[in-house]
Formats: sequence, C-alpha cells, structure tokens
Amino acid sequence: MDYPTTQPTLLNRLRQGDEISWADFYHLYSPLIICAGKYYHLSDSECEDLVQQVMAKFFANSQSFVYRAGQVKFRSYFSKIVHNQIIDTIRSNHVQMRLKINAHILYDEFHEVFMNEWRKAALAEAKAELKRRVDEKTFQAFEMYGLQNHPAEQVAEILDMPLSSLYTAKSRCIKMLQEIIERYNRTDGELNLEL
Amino acid sequence: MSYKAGDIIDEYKLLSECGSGAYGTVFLAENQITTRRLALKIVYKNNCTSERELKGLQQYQIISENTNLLQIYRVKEYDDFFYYTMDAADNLITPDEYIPDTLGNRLKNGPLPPESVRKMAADLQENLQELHNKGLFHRDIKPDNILFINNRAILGDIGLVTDSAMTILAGTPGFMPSEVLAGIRSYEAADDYYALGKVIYCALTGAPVNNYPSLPDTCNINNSGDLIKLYNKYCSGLKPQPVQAAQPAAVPAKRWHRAVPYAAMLALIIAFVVIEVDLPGTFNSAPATPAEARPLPEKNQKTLRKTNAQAPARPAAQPEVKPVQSAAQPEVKPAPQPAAKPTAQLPDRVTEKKFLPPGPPEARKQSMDRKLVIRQQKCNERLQELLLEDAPSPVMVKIYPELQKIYYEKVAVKLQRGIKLSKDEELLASYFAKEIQLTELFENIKLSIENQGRFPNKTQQQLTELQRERRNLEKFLTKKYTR
Repeated sequence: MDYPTTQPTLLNRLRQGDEISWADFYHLYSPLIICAGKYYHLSDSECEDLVQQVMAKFFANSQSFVYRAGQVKFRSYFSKIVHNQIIDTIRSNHVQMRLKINAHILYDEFHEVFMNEWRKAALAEAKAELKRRVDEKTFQAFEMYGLQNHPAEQVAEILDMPLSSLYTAKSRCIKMLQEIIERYNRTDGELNLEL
Repeated sequence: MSYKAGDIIDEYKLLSECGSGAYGTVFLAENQITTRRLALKIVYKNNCTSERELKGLQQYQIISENTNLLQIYRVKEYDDFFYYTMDAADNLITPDEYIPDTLGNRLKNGPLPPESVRKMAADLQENLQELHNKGLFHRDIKPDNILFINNRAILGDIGLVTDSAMTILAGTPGFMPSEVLAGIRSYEAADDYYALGKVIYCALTGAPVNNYPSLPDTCNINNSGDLIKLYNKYCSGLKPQPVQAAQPAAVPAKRWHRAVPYAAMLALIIAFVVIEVDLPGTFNSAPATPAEARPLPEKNQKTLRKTNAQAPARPAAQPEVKPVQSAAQPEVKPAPQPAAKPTAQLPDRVTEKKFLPPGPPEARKQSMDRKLVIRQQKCNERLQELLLEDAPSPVMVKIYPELQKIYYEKVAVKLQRGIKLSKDEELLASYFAKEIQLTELFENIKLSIENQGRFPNKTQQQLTELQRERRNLEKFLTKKYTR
C-alpha cells in the first residue's frame, strides 16, 4: 500500500465492494483512529468502539463518495467523520462523566492532531516501502545502524557483513528514503514530511 | 456428525475445545479409564487433505516413538472421520480452565526473553532434525503450532507432516518462502528452517511475521545478537546446521577455513606427513569415514608430491603403511592407489594449493588475508553498483505495490491451483519469476564474494540476460498498468 497516493485506487475499489480493499482500508486507518481517540483520553474499549463506528459510517457512505483529485482531500473528509464520531462518543453520558471534559472540540485543533498522526503513519509507510525495495540485509543494516544508532561494529558482526557494506547500505537507504518522502510531499503539499 | 465438548468418543471424554482449523478440531480429552488428559484431534473426511493427513500420521506415529517429537498414542478411523490422541500442551492458566501453552498464546503477552527463545530454538532444532532424519517435513511451523510440554518446546499440529517426496502446497503465508507460496518450486527441508527462523523472529520481537526483518526499538541487540544471526541465517535459506548452531559461538561450516588458523592447518598437514614418513608402522588410525578413503584428485596429488619433495631427508623407498583396522570400525575397501605413496588419509580440501603456500606461514597468511579483504571490498563495491543499476524505473516503482498485490493475491493463487493464466497475468508471473531469479543471483554473488572474494563464473552474462528480459517485461507492464 502506498501512502497517500493510492487513495483514489483504494477508494474506487472500495466502491466496487472489493473485500480485500476493505481489509486494507481497515488495516490502514484503524491505527489512525485509535491514536486520535487516545489523544482525547478515550479508553482502549472506547477506541475500539470508535473504530467500529467510524468504519460503519464510512462504509455506509462509501457508495455515494466519489473521489475527485484536487477538489477535496480524502484526509479532510475522513478526519471530519472521525472528529464527529469522537464528539459523539465524548457526549455520551458515561464518557463525559468519566473524562469531565468539554465535548466542544474545535475541528481545527482536531485536524492538527489527526495530521500529526497521519504524518507518523506516512513515515512508517515510507519505511515499509523502503523495506520492500531493498534486500532484507540492507534494510536490517540501515534500521539497526542508521535508525536505532547501534554501534557499527556490533551491527556488522551480527549481520555478518563488512563495515564498508554497512556504511553503503545506510547511505543507499537514506537516499532512497529521501526520494520516497519527496514523492509523498509532492503528492500531498500539506504533508511536509522530513527525514 | 460434529463433536463438541462433553461428547464421548470411545473411552475419551471431550473436555474443552482448544482450537479448530481448516483440517479439524482439537479438544482436551480425558481417558475415562486411566484419567489421563490428552489432546484429541478430530478430522472429518471430506476432502483429499484428510486422506493425506491420515497417511502422514501413520508414518509419523512409527517414527516418533522413543524420540523427543510429539507422541501420537492412538489413531482410529471411522467412516466419516478419524481421530488421534497426542500429548496435550501445558496449561497456561488455572487448573479450572485450559488454555494450551503454545508460543502463539505466550506471545499475546509480549515477546519472550532471549534466554527462553534460545532454549526454545534449540529444542525445535532438535525436533526438526529428528523429523528430517526420518525423511519427513513438518510444513506448517508457526507460533500457534509450537507447544510447550513440561516447559519444553515441541512441534505440534503434525497434520501436515508428510514425506519429502510429496509435493503438496500447504502451510501458512509469511512462514513460507515466496517462491514456494507462488508455486515456483516445491517444498524443501530448508523451508522448515525458514519457518523456524520466522518463529524465532516472532518470539524475540513479539512482532507479527510480516514485519520481518524490522527490529523493534525495544529489542536489545546486546543480549540477542546470536538469535538475530540465527533467524537471519535460516530465513536467508542457508543450509541448516546441527543443533549446536543455537549456541552463539557456532561457526558456519562453509567458512570453516577462516575459523581454523592457517598455521594450525599447516602444522596438522606436516604432522600427518612426518608421522607417515618417520614412524612407519605406528600410524594406525584408520580413515574415519569411507569418504575420506577416496583417492585424491590428480591436482591435489601433485600439490602434495611437491610439498613432500620439499620435506628433508625423505627416504627413497617407503615401506608400505597398512592402516590397522580396529574391530569396531567398518572395513574400508582400499581405494585404487596411484603410483605415488598412499596419501588418501588426508582430507581433500586440506591439500588444496592455497593452504600450502611457500614462505613463512604467518606472513603469508597475513598477506593472503589482506588480499582477500581488498578483493572482497572491490567486489562489494561492484555489487552495490550493480544493485543500483538494477533499480527499477520510477514508473515501475510507483505501480510495483499494485503489481505485487495482484500477483500474490490472484496470479500466484491461480498458479497454485493450476488455473490457466491470461496473457497479462503470464507476463506478470514471468516478471516476478525473473525478479526472484535475479534476487537469487545476487545472493549467489554475495556468497561467492564472502567465501572466495570473487564473482561466480559467468555471472555478468547471466545478469545482463536476466535484466534485459526483465526490462522488456517491465515495459509491457508499465504500459498496461499505468493509469
């Protein structure tokens, strides 16, 4: 799956009732919904309910939703659904009593929270795309040495590769990751991802 | 009819359902005569898979006796179903309720500590080796099928165990190599180790198998480096090692010549020659295996003769040395001897020319090591260049995830089922086949660089040909799938 460039394809497939696409959609967006729910202090079970309710609402509307590139961002449309559903959840008596917070969450504030979660997901997807494009050992070398900052000698020893290859793997992966991120940024100007 | 908890089959009372899958249902059962608790699996005879399972079970039951493998106690066949009883896994919770102690259930509470993973890996390696030694494959190794019985890890769900000659496609995606899943090649012994590698990964990281080889930030590589090495080795399809491989200090056999100091090797060779020359009649060790009694290749004979010629004060005529056979050792038929002295006791590889360099051994060794490292570095640089050249076009990169999805979810499934592919699907299948071939070729190159410090023969030609074919396919596919 490709963040966020495959949205039109995915949405069109959803409209045709493709079961695999539903599964993809659920897999892709449920973590975002959970993160947004957690931000507003919803419990685990409330977050799970939130996911179900958002999905049900979105699936119910999916037949009438037509994606037109350039007119409206899917993210805006989707975040509006999540926002409304979070407000509904908080307004329900037991949650409001427990959280003792005002259910009037401004959409702009919510959108910023949602946007940050979206960026995290986009970065994770960029990393996943990189993983698909390079061989396993190169990715491991990059992850352990480049991202997790383990000592080069230790990583080289564990992966049974010469130090020179480790350095090459890191620089090659950084270059590829930058390319992927640039592509994401070009597709979605609001994203502003940075490595 | 279908059985449920509370029902009785023969002398077994079904206590609770432990799990069910495509092939049958497993219950915790109690033998009403002995009160022993066992696991009982019922398989309904509705398709050919149940026949296969029954056949596999019958083979397995015989070979599993007196081993560390999961024990099968009874197999009984009825008209519409058969059942078998086996050891039940430990109970993960209170005696009132039974949750089988499987790796899958343990992982619900997060990853296992490295020490437990190490022990589990050693147990499973032993299990797998026993199974393979008997000519059987497991074919479905995954966390849910790893049982802990008396705190010892054992391969469970032996429903898919079959002999190595059977070419069925079975298993769990994620725990099978993609080329097996796609039906490009049949299942091999190394594929059981591939699955074991993935299981070790899941146990160590607590991550789903599809995350492989990502290492979570929480994983401490200081105390789990050996396990990372182990699962990488298995998942890269390298030939499995004996059980000792679970220990961190194990040295892969294919790089034995690096692990043994050259000087010691040389000393060993000289010792052999000296014993043979100076102490006739006292050299009474017979060859350990018949393989070692093979005559040396002509090239090695020459090398050895040359070395022997350099040895001082060699007697002109050697008395023939007859190895004394001990009673316990099998008699080794004498190999046809060449005109020169018998030298068959020396292992072939030891006498290769590169291990008998002239000059001071230490200096020569250092020089050889330096040269090898330089050669490896050059080759690695060239390999990185080739990998960069091999990168697909930007358009291909864009449509690649979609192609991959179509291939693995539609085309590969059709291939497995033997359904005829359309022209476009055939192109897609050829493209992924080429890609797998290229990956294998790159892996071969890497291994060759690592072992010999050079590219394997005729690689360049093969690589160019494969890349050309793939690029042609890429052109068709980009035209077809670019919107």
